[in-house]
Amino acid sequence: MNNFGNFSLALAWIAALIGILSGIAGGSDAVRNRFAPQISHRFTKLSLRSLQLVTITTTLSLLALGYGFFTADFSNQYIWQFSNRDMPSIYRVSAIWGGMDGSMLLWCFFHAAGAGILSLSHRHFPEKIAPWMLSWLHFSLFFFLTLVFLLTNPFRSIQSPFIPPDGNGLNPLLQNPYMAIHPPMLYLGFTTLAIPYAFCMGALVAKETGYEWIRITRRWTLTAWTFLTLGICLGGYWAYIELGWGGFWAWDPVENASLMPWLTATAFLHSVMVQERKEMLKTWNIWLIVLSYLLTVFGTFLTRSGIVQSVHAFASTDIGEVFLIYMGIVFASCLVLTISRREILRSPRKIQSIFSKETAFLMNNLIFLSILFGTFWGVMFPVFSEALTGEKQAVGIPFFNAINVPLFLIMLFLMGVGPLISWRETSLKSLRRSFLFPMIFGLICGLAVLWAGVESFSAVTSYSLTMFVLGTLITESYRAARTQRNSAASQSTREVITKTWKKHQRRGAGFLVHLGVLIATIGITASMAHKTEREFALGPQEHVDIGRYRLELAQVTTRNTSNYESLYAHVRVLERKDETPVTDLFPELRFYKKNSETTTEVALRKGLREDLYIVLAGLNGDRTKATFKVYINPLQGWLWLGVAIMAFGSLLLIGGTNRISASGAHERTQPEKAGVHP
Amino acid sequence: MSRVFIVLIILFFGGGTILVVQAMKTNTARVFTPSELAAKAESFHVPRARVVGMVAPEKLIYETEPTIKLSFQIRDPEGTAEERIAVHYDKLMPDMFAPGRSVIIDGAFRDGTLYATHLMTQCPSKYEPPTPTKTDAAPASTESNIS
Repeated sequence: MNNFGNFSLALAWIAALIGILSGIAGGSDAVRNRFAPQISHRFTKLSLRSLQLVTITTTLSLLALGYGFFTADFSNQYIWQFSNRDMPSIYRVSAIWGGMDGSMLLWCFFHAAGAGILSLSHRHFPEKIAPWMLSWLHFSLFFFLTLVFLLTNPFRSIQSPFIPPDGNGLNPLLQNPYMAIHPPMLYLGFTTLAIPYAFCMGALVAKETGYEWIRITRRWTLTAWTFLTLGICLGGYWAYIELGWGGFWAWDPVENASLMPWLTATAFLHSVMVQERKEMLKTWNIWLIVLSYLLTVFGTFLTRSGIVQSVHAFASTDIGEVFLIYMGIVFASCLVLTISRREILRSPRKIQSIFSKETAFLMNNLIFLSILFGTFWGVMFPVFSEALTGEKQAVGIPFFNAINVPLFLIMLFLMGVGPLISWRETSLKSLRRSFLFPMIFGLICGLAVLWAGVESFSAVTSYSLTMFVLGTLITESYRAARTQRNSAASQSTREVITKTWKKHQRRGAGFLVHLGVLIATIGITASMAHKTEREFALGPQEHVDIGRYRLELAQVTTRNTSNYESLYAHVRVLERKDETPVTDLFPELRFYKKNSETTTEVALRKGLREDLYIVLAGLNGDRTKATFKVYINPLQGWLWLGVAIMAFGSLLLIGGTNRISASGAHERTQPEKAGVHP
Repeated sequence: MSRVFIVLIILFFGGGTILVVQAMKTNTARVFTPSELAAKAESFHVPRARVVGMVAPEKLIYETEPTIKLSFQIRDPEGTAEERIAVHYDKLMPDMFAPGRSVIIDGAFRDGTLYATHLMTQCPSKYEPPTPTKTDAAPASTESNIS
């Protein structure tokens, strides 16, 4: 199977190379002029077919590795290193991406699979862009396949005179369902971003940046955005339930690497609306897409080259330079292309007023980019400081919070302003009419929160702004419904709602995403600002009161399995005031024999109101008392709920119509001739 | 348009710079290796330091009574330097913490001791084996598996 996997990889690599060349031949004017247009089409077709070949061969290669894991083929170095015989099946699958080599192969697989799905809709490709787009996509695939094939090949044989009887096993921390899901989800997001990128570059080469381009790029960016959002959130959820420190986000380089492309993609999804409506910001949008793609490559580089210290121990490998060269090529290409195509990228319009949707979108973009630069600066600070001063310095979590919390609050404010302000210019009168209710609503809520005893300035601001934005969402939805009701007599409320939704589907889905953001924001703010954290020791039948709970230790037992020994506590949770039982929780402390590692198994009671989070720290010296760490995280569940709503809204946007509601902006632009002709 | 645009950009990046500078004033830590710190004089103080080191097996004490207390020594994760520095930490022992593990520590260094405020264990088998090179690692551990 090793040879088969390797062979498939090599085939994919060759197919990608052919795809690059045939794409160039298919798009080039020289070929078209010298021979017949049919020849160009054939080349484009060849590029398309090689794309599908890459998909098939990469898939086979991944299957070969998976087969190796299932049959415990320890003649393969990688499989030996990341699995052993007693692992449950699901973790045999997740062990595929448990290490660097396999994770890079998984990356290639998702990249190729996305490309394969894209290739199915080839009839809708804008004709001129298609060959160049294919070529850029192949180039990206070619780069990752080269890495996997030459530098991080997961099909290497073990360097041992005999085949070992059992493997090394997977890190127990990674043996968690969410750890099995979240990296693939993130990779899906990362690799899907390559598609809008390829369209961008293709459109630039072909000098076509019309409506078709926007339609396709926007839809694929939305898809990538949904995966990224879910992937980032699942990663946070994994950290929350598994790591036992009561939080979900630590601004670790690996987390930041996933956040950065999300920021630029989100910025693009907003500013592309300005391009749709006003044909402005074309260059800006192209850079946002290319930057998103570059940041996914940068993230891979960051987490695998060992240039910054991360909680995830990525050893310093020699693949760093290859990444830098590739990023340099992409960046330079985009620079040359945007400069040489500046005529077609020039905007026919200008922003007319500071009180306009255009400005609001622009500010939104600047904030997203500021968060990006702040985060980037923090991540790269050890490298920069060493280069500049010779003294290595680093920043921690407080730095990221100090920068990003105020920026995020400004963003919240803009989130309220953006949807209500009108295009081109807004009169002060209409501003007052739109914002009076939301402002008052936000202020009252802010005062209420203050009165309830919340002291943190950023928390009060955050709640108040969240309510302000909620107010704008309500106002705007109500207005749309009222217009609908007045448009025809005698409609039932239900009719009004469904008709309004149909008419403004895209807008409504956008609002839904924003609603998700608001709910998540409340969850983040509350769990950060009002976290309760206690540490105590309890003997059997002793109790302690925390918040509204009384925690009583029933007993601590030891358990012994083949894999680990553990301390297992039974904690009774009661209502503090009347001692009615709430639930029983069983925090555990495990000691894995094989690699003498200790891990905590958090006991968690989830609820919409708050999460009760118990960690067993250990026994004291004479083994009469057990020490616990308890967190109460208010409204923690709202974060996950909010993200789920965001993803749902985003799915509606992907599946929904591409028309901008009501007036429909781009009817004036003729759709380009589409399709790769067979 | 261009004037509005320029003013906005200046405002943002001006504001952003101020924000970054403010955040950096109070939040940067100097990065050391354990042997670098060990070589410093007793009187050497750093209020904020970040140290990456390997947990030494000796002198590792973890108490949970009366308060949680973890003290241990670290040495350079790579190389041959044998110098160690003592670390004190008063929070929960993080998951995967074990002798031989690489840890990232943020804290204050005074009187030859690192008082940790943050202690993170690096996640070892995620991307590379803890041993320096793969090809060396395989046969060595294989033998230990058999015996």
